Amino acid sequence: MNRLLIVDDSLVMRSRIARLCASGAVGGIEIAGQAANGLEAIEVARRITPDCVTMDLTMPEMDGEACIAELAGLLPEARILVVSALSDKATALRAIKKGAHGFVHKPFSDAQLAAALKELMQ
Amino acid sequence: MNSATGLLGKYRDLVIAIALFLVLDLGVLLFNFYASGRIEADTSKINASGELRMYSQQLAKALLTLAQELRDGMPIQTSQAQISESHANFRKALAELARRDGRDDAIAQWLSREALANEADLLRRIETYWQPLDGTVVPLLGKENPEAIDVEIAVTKVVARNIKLMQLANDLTQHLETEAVATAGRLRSIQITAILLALVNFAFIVFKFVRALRRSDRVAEVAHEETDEILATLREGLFLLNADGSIGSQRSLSLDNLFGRPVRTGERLSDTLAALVEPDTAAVAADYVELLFKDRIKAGLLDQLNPLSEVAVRGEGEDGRQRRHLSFAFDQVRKDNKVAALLVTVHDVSEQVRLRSELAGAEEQLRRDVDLLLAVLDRDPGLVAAFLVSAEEKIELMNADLQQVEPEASAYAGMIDRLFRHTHAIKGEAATLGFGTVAREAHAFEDRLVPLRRSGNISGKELIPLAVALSGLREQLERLRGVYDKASNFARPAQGLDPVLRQIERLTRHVAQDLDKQVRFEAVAAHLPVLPESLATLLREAVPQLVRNAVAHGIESAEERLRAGKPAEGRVRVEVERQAGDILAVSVWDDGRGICADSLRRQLVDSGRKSTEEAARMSERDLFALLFEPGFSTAATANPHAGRGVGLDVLRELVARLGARLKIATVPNSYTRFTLLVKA
Repeated sequence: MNRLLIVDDSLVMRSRIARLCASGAVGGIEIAGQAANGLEAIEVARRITPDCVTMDLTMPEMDGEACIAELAGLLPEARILVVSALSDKATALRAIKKGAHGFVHKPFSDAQLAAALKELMQ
Repeated sequence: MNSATGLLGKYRDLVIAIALFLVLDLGVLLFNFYASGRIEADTSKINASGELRMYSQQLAKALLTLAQELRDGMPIQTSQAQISESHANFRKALAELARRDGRDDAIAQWLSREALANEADLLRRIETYWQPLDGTVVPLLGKENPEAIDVEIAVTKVVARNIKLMQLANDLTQHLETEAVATAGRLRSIQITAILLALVNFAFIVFKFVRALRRSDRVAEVAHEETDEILATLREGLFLLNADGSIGSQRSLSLDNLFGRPVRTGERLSDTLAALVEPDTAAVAADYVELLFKDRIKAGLLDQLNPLSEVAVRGEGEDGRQRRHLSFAFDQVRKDNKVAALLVTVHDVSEQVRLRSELAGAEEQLRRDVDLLLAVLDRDPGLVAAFLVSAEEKIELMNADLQQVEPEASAYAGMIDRLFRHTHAIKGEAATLGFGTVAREAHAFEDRLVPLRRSGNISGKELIPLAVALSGLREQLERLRGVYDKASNFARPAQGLDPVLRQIERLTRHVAQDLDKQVRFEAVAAHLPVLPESLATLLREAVPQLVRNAVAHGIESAEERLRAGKPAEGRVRVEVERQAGDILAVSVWDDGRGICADSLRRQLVDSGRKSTEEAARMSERDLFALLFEPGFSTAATANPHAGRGVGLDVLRELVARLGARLKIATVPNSYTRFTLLVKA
């Protein structure tokens, strides 16, 4: 069972991802924790050591890019999926360079996110 | 396993030759060893054979001395010791000669069977002579007082046999020496042959090796040539990007064309891109290439993020040519599961980009046309037609203005003001009617006018781009006109003015055809569900006449129009509008030659109806009134539609009958408009 940490400043977005995972559409995944910004994400990740993370980029306190860099150092085994409305290639490449393993653009369909999560866990 | 077999298969001859060479070398070496042993053995035999002769002589001499000493009663110890020594040495030498080691083996047998037989024969004969002697001497050995008789017998035997023994030993020595020389010669021949064979073998190896090397060189060369040829003819740009970011030596020639300059081996791709694409793109591309070399990242993930999948070439397209677009594709080349290099393919995708943008443009245009059509259908057709007419008129005026060359800058300022007013009016009306495309284009044109209006100091040069910009607005209006015309073609229930106007249009076409003129008929009519009788009469009796006149007198021939800078096709327009105070206005307008007051004056003078002075004194109003007098015609020759001097006089009667009013507005070479006003 892969343990997932959901990082997004929008409660709606967090609930949507959580609901999708709970529905069994992805399989082999359970929600281990949620965080509303980068700082909180680091703190939660320290505590629960997730296997995978969905990461928003635009967030208060600490943004997603900085958080990815931190997490990559903290939990090198954790796989990070960027879920962001920023759709330009440069942003995605920067995130991957910092340690992200995949990305999904908002708005996304359930099928798109499920496929990206499956791909992430492979 | 396969490759090992293959290797042996490929180099089999070479391997066998080298093995043979080694065997030969080893054989020569072993044979040398054998030969040296053999020579040593031969030497020791020759020595032994010599000794045989010497000890035989010594024994004989010692026995004779012993016999003499016995006879003389002298001490015999010394001679007895000499007998023992020479007897022992003789036997030792004989034993040495009888030893067969190193001389009796297969090789020796093969080398010198006959010689060995002779040698054995000689030895046997020596033994035969020696045995009786040996038997006689042995009892004497060590005896303190040997019997004289025994010694005499021994002396007799030794004297009798010594000569023969010495002769036989001599023969043996000679035989051995001869044989040793012959054997050495034979051995040398064998050695030389073996060395020669080894040399031949070596030469064969060298030849074989060099040939194989040259063959593989040739194969490599051909492969290289083929690669070069492929790279030279490939239309795509192709190169290997090394892990250090440098461009490899093998690349397609077309790359130079695609990059617009020669590419050097070892040149860094980041430098190439810095000159080729916008700085932002080049920076993102550097990140991208760096990630492609990371083994942990899935290639599939990066495929979608390629910032160079379609990139515009920098600094192009300013000279009016289309800007080039390139597409870079990167494929990881893995060695031992590590990304060792990237195979980069470059395509020129300018054509695809152009087609796509054209398609997008066409789609956008279509969408706008549909929007326009919906807007047109949604509006009162009369209003749309009225807008079109007035806007087109304004465009014509503006265009005419822009063609003018004004002598003074201040005049340009006035012109800009006029252009601005017209544009603004078009914009306002278009916006009200929901014709966004026209309103936007008008707005854009206004934007161009604003700075000119402010600057105050305008030259004719600055108007040239305005004329071009104005064509954009004209184009949008033409589109609207096209959409409107198409929409008007939809059959609508015959009501109000439509049937009458259609009749007039048919008449216009008929007259134009008869007179071989190109005329476009336009009708702008207010919405009138019920046609008042007065208006119906005008449309039935007056308008056809006016339209006929417009085509016959107003509209020039196509050539004449073109000479005057007008479109070949003339326009005749009928407008029906409701004015304040229940007044209905019907007008017939044409963009023909207009009515020239001076030529009317000349006509009056030429026909003798007025003197030059009288004609000059007449006002325009009076002159135009003449048109309505019976028998007056401006046409030079009569035809079915003009020149008989009937027509407008009929109109005058009609106007009088209906209590209507008639107005004429005309500008020479521009237009004529007859307007009839009647109470509804």
